[in-house]
Amino acid sequence: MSNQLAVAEPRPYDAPYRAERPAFAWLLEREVLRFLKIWYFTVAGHVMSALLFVVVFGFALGGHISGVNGVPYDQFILPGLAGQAVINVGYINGTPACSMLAATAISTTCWPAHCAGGSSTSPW
Amino acid sequence: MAHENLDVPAAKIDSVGTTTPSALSIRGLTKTYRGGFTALADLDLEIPDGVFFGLLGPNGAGKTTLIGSICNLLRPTAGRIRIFGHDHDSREARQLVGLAEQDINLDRFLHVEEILVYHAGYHGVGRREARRRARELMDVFRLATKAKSPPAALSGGMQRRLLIARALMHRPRLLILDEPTAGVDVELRGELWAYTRQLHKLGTTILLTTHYLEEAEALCDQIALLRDGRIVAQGSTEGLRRRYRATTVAEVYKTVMAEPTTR
Repeated sequence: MSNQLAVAEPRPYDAPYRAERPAFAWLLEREVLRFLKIWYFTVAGHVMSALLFVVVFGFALGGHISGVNGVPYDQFILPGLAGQAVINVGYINGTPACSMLAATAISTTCWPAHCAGGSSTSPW
Repeated sequence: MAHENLDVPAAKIDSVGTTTPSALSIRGLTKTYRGGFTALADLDLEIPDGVFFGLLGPNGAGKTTLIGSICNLLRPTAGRIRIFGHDHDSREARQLVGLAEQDINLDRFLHVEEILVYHAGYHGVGRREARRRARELMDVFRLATKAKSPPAALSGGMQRRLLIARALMHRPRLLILDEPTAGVDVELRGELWAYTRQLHKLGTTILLTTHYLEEAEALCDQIALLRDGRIVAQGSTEGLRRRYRATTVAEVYKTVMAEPTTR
């Protein structure tokens, strides 16, 4: 191991806490990065699932239903399916945050960042 | 035998006469898990600033529970932990502690450089400084060629080096090494010994847990022996050897562990 002495000075014990960038922002960024790195699982899978719902309920079944209060069935159900996809993705990606509480420096910052990162990056 | 700690100073006085608080001060620490098992029982421990401190004990003695409590990963049932005078769950205390865990728990979604940069970020370090420090530590720990590799692509020794590099990213004043040389080859063990010695020389307080008694003998100024959640002996390596009329730490360990327990 080289260049050892240059990198090892410890921080002063009496320095007040000062964050150049909040830990929350780092955690949130990490969660978004994780989400995007496994896009085939977090994005593509959910988009496919939502499209399948649209095809089955919107077009296949929708053709047999006259409409709801004058709104064609496919248009009526589309916002609901989009909402469902957002909630599902947010929930699925946000819940592992609880088990990750213990893994990082400041636990009170940890789970809100993971939850926000998981839900804010939903494909919709 | 009652816990004796006669040869351990509580605080350090530097060259200009300022008293540095203890790196770690634990009073009455008890941890009882939900099932009723008490891993730590009314434990007191004082580690002065700048000491290379070894924590020894058999499996299940409470070493990892103690480290988890110090690092705010576990919630103690009772007691108080202070790190350089700060409450252990304060942000100031968290910035002062670096932990290299016993288990390899690297973030599998990030590559080597990102692991280091984000870890520094969690402790409040800015992006530019985090990147600079990550480059430095990757050079020191010979990980530069693997900067963009995921941890799963690293050998066991590299993963261990990365774990220690990660613990050093925010320049902690108290470094906790939980069995850092478990499962590493002789060459890497020698390198880690040399590096931890250098860190210690530069003022980092080191708390080392290990099952290798010769490692504790070679590195540590002071040692505490933990059994059934209690410190059963503590002192300087020389003091302990003298007290137990032993020639090595291994002999001290055997003698202390053979004594009948009061619990």
